[in-house]
Amino acid sequence: MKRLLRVLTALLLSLGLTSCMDITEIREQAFIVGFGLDRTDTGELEINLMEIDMSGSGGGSEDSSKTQEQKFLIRTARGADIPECLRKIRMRLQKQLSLDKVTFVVFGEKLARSGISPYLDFLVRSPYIDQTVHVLITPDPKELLRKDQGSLNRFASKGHAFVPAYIPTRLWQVNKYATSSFKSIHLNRFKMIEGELNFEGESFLLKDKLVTQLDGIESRLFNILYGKDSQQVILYLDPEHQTSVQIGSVRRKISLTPERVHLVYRIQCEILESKEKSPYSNILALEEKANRYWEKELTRIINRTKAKGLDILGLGEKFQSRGWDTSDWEEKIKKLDVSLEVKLDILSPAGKRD
Amino acid sequence: MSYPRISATEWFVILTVSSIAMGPIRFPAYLAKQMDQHGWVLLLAALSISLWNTYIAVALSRKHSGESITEWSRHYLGKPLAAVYTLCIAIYFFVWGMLTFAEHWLLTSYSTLKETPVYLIVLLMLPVVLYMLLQGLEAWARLFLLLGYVLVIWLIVINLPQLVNSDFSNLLPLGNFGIDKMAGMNALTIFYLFKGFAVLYFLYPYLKTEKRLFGLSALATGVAGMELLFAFLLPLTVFGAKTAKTFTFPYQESMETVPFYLLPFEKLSFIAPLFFVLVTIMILIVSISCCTQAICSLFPRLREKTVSTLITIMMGLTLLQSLSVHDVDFLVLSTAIVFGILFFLVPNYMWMVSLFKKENPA
Repeated sequence: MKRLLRVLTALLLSLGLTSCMDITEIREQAFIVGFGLDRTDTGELEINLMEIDMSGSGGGSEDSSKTQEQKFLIRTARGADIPECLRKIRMRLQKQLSLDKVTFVVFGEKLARSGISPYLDFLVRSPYIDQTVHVLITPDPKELLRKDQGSLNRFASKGHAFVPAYIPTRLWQVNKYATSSFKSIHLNRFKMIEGELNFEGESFLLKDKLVTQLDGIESRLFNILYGKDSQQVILYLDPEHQTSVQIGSVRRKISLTPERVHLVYRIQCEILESKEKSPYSNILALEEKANRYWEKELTRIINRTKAKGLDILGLGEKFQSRGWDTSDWEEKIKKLDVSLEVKLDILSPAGKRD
Repeated sequence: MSYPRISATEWFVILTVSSIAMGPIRFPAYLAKQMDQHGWVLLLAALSISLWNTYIAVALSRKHSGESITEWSRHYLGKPLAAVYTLCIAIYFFVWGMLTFAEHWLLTSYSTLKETPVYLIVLLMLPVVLYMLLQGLEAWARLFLLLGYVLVIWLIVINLPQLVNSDFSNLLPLGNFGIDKMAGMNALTIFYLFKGFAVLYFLYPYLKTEKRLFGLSALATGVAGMELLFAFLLPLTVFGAKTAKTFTFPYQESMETVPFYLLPFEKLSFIAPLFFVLVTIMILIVSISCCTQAICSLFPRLREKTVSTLITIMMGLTLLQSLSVHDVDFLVLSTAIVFGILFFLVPNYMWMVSLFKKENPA
């Protein structure tokens, strides 16, 4: 009887070996690391997928010291929506598309101006796509991906941690704010210039539509406004660019009333380079001059974005958490009185000069 | 013949795991949909009621030490009604085990094992469950204790890193704390959470010591309460109520926002289904064990090992049928109503009667 039970159990458990039935060979899979989405002149959606080129890595190498640079292939398709485009690519390649290695999604500016919400739904619903992928923007995704030699993938995977001014925007954050006007999400803008990946600045969305962009210096000032991720950002203390400083820390205090918002920024920094002789000898005057200059620049950015209905500081969320009226927030933010104050503290030098 | 015995620590782990169960999987979505950011109020209400029920369970079990609920309920309900009550309890525990697996499978089939058929998981899991049941109470209680240490570390690892992305102002404004939304069906969900105290009615005769039993049980329920609060609050603080309620598994999605670049698996969310696999196995063991005890008290001639085996096989056959999200939600609501009657109304009635009942002179 016991022997019979053992045989029956063994037969039953052998059904567990069926887990190998649905295996897909690695050669039958296309590993996608990046998505590029844009709109064509005819209004169609164009998808560019960055695929890892597996053809050079078959067989392996016994010489472990030789590093093979990874190559990428760009797969393009046009259609009404993302699933249709992916289906076309899959049919062409005759491979299964593996989307769980995707590290970035880059939207074209043309598509972003008309709204990215319709395309977010697929990206957010997909159980394969990581919700922490970086969402970026560029004038022409196809061109960016074609010129890119894997630097975007490396940047999105780990490299971004070493870029001080870069404030990442993840897919889950874009999804959160794409339907909300209480905070305007930014997408980081990239271009390939002379074969190198360049971070250009932030582009802001009003809900899900691209509205305005900040250039290089403005985007560094945005780090200050944001109050986070501002360590090691390099800025000038004056409009003539006489003195450059590296930010040490930024502390932001917000005072709110339903009619007025006042921001106070306490910033610590160190002088990196100065065309002035002995800048530390008249440090108080330097700090005072820099306070006025930065107040003017930061206020300019806030007013410019506010005028377009953008809430780059998330003031709407703060109003909402206090139970204040946030109806028609895009219009309210335009009229909201926002003032700011900068208190700069230039620290004593750690270097050789005074 | 010696009675199997379980220690206070083993009971603590059994109660904590039974109280957490699969609450963190679907409940955050339901609470966020029904009550926006105020769902934590309902959670705290459920926790309070569970603590009261734990007190009742300890008080009644102490009054009838050496017997399980299926035996001493006859003193209050009479033999025929007690038999019906016992049968209902047996069916309830069977459904609880089945529902636990179904909820876990919903998450696993979505997040990790997308291509795997359910029968494979049933084939792999149930022999483990049956083996532990056949080894006896002391053996599986020791297994719980061993896994308990692992689960504590796991709970800390899956919850604390999410605080990096949390913004607690998403819980504001407090308003009226969502009191107006707590009535009706939402109130019934109170009886779905923190069910672990019901196991005490069966395991009390096997406890080594009764010292500080209520304190220990309350602590275990409190730990479960903390985990469920985290499971509800973290997705809300990360995504906000509006976005959190669009997800089927908000707790899993909020874990997805935390990458671990230095670790081999890179994603925090990878370890969550593994955590729940252990919890599922443990709940299956507990539910089948309680179901077995209930059946054996109705039919004393049946051997416990035979009944455990039969129940496990029946459970396996029912688990082959995958349930959809709507089926699971419907069963959750139905079992909440049944649980409220079986383990809230009836024991409270029995406790009140016991306060006034005089002992018959021998």
